[in-house]
Amino acid sequence: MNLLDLPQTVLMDIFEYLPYDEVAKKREVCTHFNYTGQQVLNLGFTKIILEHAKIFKRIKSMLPRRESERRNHPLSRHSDILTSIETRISMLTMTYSKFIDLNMCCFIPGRVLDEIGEILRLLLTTSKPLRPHEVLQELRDISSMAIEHFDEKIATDFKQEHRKQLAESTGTRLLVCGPLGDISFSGVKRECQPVDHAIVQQAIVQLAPLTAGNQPTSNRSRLNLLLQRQYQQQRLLAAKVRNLEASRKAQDRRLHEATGCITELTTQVSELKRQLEDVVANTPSLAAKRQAVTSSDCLPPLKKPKV
Amino acid sequence: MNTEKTKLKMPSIKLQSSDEEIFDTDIQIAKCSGTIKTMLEDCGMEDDENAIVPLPNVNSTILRKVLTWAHYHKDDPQPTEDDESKEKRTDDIISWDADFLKVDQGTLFELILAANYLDIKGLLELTCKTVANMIKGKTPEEIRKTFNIKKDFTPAEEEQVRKENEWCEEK
Repeated sequence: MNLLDLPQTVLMDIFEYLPYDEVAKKREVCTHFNYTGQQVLNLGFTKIILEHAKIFKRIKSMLPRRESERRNHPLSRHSDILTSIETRISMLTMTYSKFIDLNMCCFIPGRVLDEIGEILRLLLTTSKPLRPHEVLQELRDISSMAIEHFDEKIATDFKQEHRKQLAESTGTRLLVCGPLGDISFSGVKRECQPVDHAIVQQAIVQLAPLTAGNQPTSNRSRLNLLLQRQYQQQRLLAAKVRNLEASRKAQDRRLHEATGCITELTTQVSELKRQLEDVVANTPSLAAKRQAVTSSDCLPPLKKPKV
Repeated sequence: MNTEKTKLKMPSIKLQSSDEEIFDTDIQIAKCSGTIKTMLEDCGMEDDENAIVPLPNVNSTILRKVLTWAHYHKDDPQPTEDDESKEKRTDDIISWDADFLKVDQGTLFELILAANYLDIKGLLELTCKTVANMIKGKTPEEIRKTFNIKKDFTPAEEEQVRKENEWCEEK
């Protein structure tokens, strides 16, 4: 009896005992390992998202509602770290999910899952303030590495392949709906245009004998004209759809990039804010000054009514 | 007198392996198998001393091993419904279990199948961990050798997987 004779679920159970990084690397053993590993990695990504959400909810429920109080709470760093992880997860989702849904790849970077899992465990086991920067550095590094590599090396091939598949599928759809006048969405179908024309011509010819019998020729020419006009309109519409599709894709891409930038910046800002607070807290004179400033801010409005 | 007392305390049950060997087993031990437990409770066989539970998917060699394991672990606490965040540890195998699983690969896999079929969580966990330990830290080539697996990728597939995993190689 061989390891590969075990049921798929059991093999997945076995893989679950390995770090996800190892699962990812073991995909190179054979097709069965590859397939099982992919399932385990995809499942692992879903699991970590749920796990993160669960912990985040719990930590949030322990923090005070007021932001000013929240900042001084011992668990505030936990919440910051979880926010950063959330950002990372959404960046990873943006990168991989589309292709996972299309069944073109799996959640490739197992090591990222291990790292997130480790941070989450750390958050669960300690309640003393952590240093977000230190805790998150490795995760930031490796998730960026994974995303960059995927965008540059992997996704480009997938996009080409996907486009090809799309073209093929529209090709067959064209075959089916051709006589009804299908609109091509992919714009790859340029060489088919004469065929369309021929179909219209054919339709005219086929219709001709029907009308010729009991209708005068004027009707026939009118029909001809109508068909021609219809055909022109259709071409125009098809071109428009193509244009819109292209601009939508460009728009999508830009939006994607922008969202990535914004999330990245947001985390950086919150990180900086945190660091600034650290610095302020560690400099007693500054802290004293700030207190003086705040107290002087508060006092005048109290005094004013008296005057 | 003493033996009679224990007999009263521990009603037994007969398990029949695929090669039709009968195993007289304490009900408490047999019940560590979720499958047998449900079978007994659903069929109301619990009070019947002579009831025979057929296990057509397990042969006598494997069933004997399974029962040995179950006997040793009969006083283990019930596994709690664990939360997902628990670290995946494979280095917490006790030495008795490690000795128990010093068997050839074929037997090990049969034990996994039996544990899976009989729904014995502890044994399934243990055997899966053992196989995971055999996989851990090995290169793909070493794994193929260990488990006698053929590399059945097309060159393109192999290249794709390799390329996907390239992202974490340090430069």
